[in-house]
Amino acid sequence: MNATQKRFTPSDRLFHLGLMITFLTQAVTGLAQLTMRTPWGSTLMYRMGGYEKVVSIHYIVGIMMGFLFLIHGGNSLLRMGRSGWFGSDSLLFSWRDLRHMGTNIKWMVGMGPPARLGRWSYWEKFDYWAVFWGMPILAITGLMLAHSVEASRYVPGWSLNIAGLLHRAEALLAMVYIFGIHFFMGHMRPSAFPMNPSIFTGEMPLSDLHHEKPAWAEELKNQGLLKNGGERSASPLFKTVYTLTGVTAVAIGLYLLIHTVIFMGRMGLSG
Amino acid sequence: MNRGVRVFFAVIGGVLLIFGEALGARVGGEEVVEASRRYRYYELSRGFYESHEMRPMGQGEGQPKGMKTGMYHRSRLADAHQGILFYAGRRCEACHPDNAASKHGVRGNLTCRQCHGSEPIAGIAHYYSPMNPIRRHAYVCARCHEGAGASFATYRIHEPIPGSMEAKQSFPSLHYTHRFMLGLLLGVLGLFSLHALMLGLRELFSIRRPHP
Repeated sequence: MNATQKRFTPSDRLFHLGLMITFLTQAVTGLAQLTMRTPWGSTLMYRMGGYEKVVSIHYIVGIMMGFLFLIHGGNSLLRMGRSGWFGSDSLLFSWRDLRHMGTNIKWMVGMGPPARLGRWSYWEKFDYWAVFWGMPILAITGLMLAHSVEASRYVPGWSLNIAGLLHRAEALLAMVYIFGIHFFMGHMRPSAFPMNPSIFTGEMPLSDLHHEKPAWAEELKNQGLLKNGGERSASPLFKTVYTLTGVTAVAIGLYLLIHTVIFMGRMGLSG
Repeated sequence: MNRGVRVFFAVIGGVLLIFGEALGARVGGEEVVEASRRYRYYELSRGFYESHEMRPMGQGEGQPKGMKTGMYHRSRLADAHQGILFYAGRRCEACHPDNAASKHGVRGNLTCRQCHGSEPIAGIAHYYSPMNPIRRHAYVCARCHEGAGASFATYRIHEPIPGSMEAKQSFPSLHYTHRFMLGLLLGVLGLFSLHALMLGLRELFSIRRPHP
C-alpha cells in the first residue's frame, strides 16, 4: 500500500454521500415526471410505483436534501470560522484560480507546463459552489410548486409558471453538469479512470498528490504535515462497498444523462 | 437603448414584479387594488359575483353581435364553438393540439371538460363563464385545489412554449426567464465541457503517471 495523504474529513465524505444519494433519487424521480409522456418515462414511473408515489418521494427527498444543505452550510461556517476564510486551503475563489485556469488552457494546447494546483482545483471549487446556487433555486421553487395554493397567497399565481421553468431548467443543468462533467473530471478522465476513491476513503495516494496537486504537496511538506494519512490500507470489504457504490452511481448517472439529453433535444427547457 | 440593456431591465422588472408586490403589500399594509389580490381574502367561495360585473353594452346575453372593429372573439361567447361545422364529431385536441399537453392532462389525467364544463362550453371571457377570471378560482380551481384564490387562478395551465414568440408576446417574464436560464446552461456547459474535453485529450496523449 502506498502512503496516503488525508484529503477529506469524515463529515466531508458523509455530506458527499448524502448529496450523492439524494441527488440521484431526485434525478430519477424528477426525470420520470418530465418524461412521463414517453414510453421510457412512463415505464420508469410505473416501476417506481406510479405518479403519486414518485411525487411524494421527490418531495420527501427534496426536504432531506434541503436540510442536508443547511446543515452543511452551518458546519462549513463553523469550520471556516475556526480555520479562516482565506488561504490556500480555502474553498473560496481567488485570482489564483483564474491564473491556474489560464495556465492549464495553455498547457492543453501545448504551450507550457500544467498549473501547480493547490488542495482544491478551480473546477473542484466550481463544482462545490454550483451547489450553492442550484440548491436554493431548486428548494424555493420546489416548495412553491409543492404548496402552490399557499404560495399563490404571497406571490402572483403566474409566478408558479416561472418557478416551474426555473426548477426544470436548473435541474436539467445540474443533471447534465454532474453526470457529464463532474463524473468525467472525477472518475472518467485518463488519470482518474476507472474511479477516484478519495471521496469515499478520505485519503489520496502520495504519488497522485505530487502529480495532481503539487502546490499543496509542497505546502504540506513545508508544514511537516505530508503523509498524515498514514499507510493504513482500506479493508477489502470497504473497498468492495465503495467501488460498487461509486461505479453504480456513475452508471446510473450516465444512463440518466443519455435520457436527459434526449429529453432536452426534444423539448429544450419546456416541460 | 441596446438589446442587452432592455433584457437586463426586463429581468430586474420581472423580479420586482414577483417579489416587490408581495413585499410591498406586507410591509406597507395599504390596500392592494390589483385584481388577483382584491378578491383573494373575501371572495374565495362566496359564489355571488354579479354585483361586480358589467354586461357588455348593447349586447344580449350570449349573442355574438361583434365588437366595434367588426370582429368578435369566441372567448366572449356563451357557446364558444357556436357555428363550427361537424363540431359534435370532433375531439378537443383536433383543434387545440397545444392545449392537450397541459400538466393537468399529462400529470393529473384530467379531461378538458373537467375544467371547461359540458356543452355548450362558454368562452373563458364570457361574463357568466365559470372560467371567467373573476370567478375561475372558486368555480374551477378550488374544486381540486382547496383554498385557491384569484391569485392562484392566474397560473397559466396552458403555458406557452417559453422560448416561443407567443410567450414573448403573452408571457414576457416567462420568456426572458427562459432566455436567462438557457444562456446560463449553454455558458456553463459550453465552457466546462470544452475544458473537460481538452483536459481529457491532453491527459490521454501525455499520461503523467501509471494507472493506480
